[in-house]
Amino acid sequence: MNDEYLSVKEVTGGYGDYIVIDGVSLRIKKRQVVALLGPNGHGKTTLAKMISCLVPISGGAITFRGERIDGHHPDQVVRLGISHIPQGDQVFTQMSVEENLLAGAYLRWEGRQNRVAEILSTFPQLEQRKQVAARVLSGGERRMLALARGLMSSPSLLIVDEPSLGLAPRMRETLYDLLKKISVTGTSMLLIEEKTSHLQGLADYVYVMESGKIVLNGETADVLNNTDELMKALIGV
Amino acid sequence: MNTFVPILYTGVVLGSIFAACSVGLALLYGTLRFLNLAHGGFLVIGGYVAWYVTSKLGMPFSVGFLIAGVVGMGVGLFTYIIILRPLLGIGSPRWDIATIIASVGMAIVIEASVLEIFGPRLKSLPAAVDGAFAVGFTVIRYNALFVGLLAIGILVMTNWYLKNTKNGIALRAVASDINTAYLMGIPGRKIFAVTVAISSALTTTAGVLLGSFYFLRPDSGQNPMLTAIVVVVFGGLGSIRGAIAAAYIIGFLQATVSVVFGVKWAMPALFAFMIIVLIFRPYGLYGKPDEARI
Repeated sequence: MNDEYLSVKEVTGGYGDYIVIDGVSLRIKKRQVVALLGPNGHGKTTLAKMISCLVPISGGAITFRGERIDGHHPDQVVRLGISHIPQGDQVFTQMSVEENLLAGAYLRWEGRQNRVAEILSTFPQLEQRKQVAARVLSGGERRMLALARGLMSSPSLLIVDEPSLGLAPRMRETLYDLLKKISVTGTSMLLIEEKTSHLQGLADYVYVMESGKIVLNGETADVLNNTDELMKALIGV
Repeated sequence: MNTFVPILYTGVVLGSIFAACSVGLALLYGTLRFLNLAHGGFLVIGGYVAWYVTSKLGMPFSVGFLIAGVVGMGVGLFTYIIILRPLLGIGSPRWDIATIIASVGMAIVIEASVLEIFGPRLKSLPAAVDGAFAVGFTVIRYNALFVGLLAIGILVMTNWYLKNTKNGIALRAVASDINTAYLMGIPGRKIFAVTVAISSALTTTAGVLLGSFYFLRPDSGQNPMLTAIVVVVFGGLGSIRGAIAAAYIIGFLQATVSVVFGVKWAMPALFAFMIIVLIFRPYGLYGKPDEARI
């Protein structure tokens, strides 16, 4: 049985004539957590946007569960089971926490209230603030809300773009604990990260990206132990 | 008492009608960033459809009101398919200018069509409710109260729709950030079409309310449209809450100035007030630079 979920093959593309991603290939299997590691500004977010079809590719192919998805409209990709939690505080600021979650339930509108209750039980901090407008939440709470909202469509693959960026250490720990909980449920995950600190125990496999190319990949422990190569890719020394 | 009652009565009725006239415009701008200069044309369509249904077909006001809403929805969808969708499709870098020019064209077509179909003579809608009563020296018409209540009903229903239905929540998400909305699986283009249809229906039904106060002419939507633009700018472009608040403030301001200083000072006072407000709040009452507003 083919348990490959996402396959990115020789993908190239960027913005207009500016090539950001240059011949990248990666694979995610069912129930696997894959980390895409790399310094800031080297194409990780662009690749995530290409997978969710927010940015078109100019070469290569992206398939999900055997179906070619590049060229799809972004909402079609979500229907297939991919949920993308974008970088930053991308919550609907004028809507309440509960309304943000309901927006996430657009594709599973039947039974939405049960799903909201189920998701809020995983995110108790949001439960207490569900009637509050998202604009008044702290940075960490907004990040949690974005994550919770992404789970409302019950995705099979979750793309999480730098979930801990700019967060206080305690909130960072809480978020990674939540990601571990989610991974235990069997949801496959592409975790985009700049730092290696939380990958151990969460990611099964790591790809390292530099200047739009994959320069290193392997089992998490192998990549993290390969300090020389890793440092060279991440900080250029 | 001699000034308080007429100010309260006129302010509530005017404010409610202004709000009903503006909410469609605010909805369109908030979601599609489309300032519809054919808004007056849609108000006129509503008035004429209701006039035809009540005066020519002899049906009650309520039927005219509902049919005007349905026709508005149809004309809105037609407008979306013929004009807005192609403009969205080419991804015009000057979307705002392109749609403003397109909406001016629509306004001209609507006015010419109404003139051709109904002729240039003034028309008037029968009052939905007859009769009046006096409070002190102020004569209060039941029709005005009814129209005011109907306008409030439209606003309450719109608010309920936006907060409780699948399309309403999706519409607000699209207005907030369309790319993030796509990531929720929300089909942005479909939501645009729904928004245009709803906004048009709201505007044509508001046109029926206006038609029960003022005479109908092919160009009689121009002044209400200007007031609606003032309301929407004052409230914060695209903000429905802001438009409703601004409509009542403007309604009461106009009522107060008209009663105390005379009707001729109502418009100058309104614009002076708006300029002062915009100096201190450049984005209007509820507007924010880069945030979703609905």
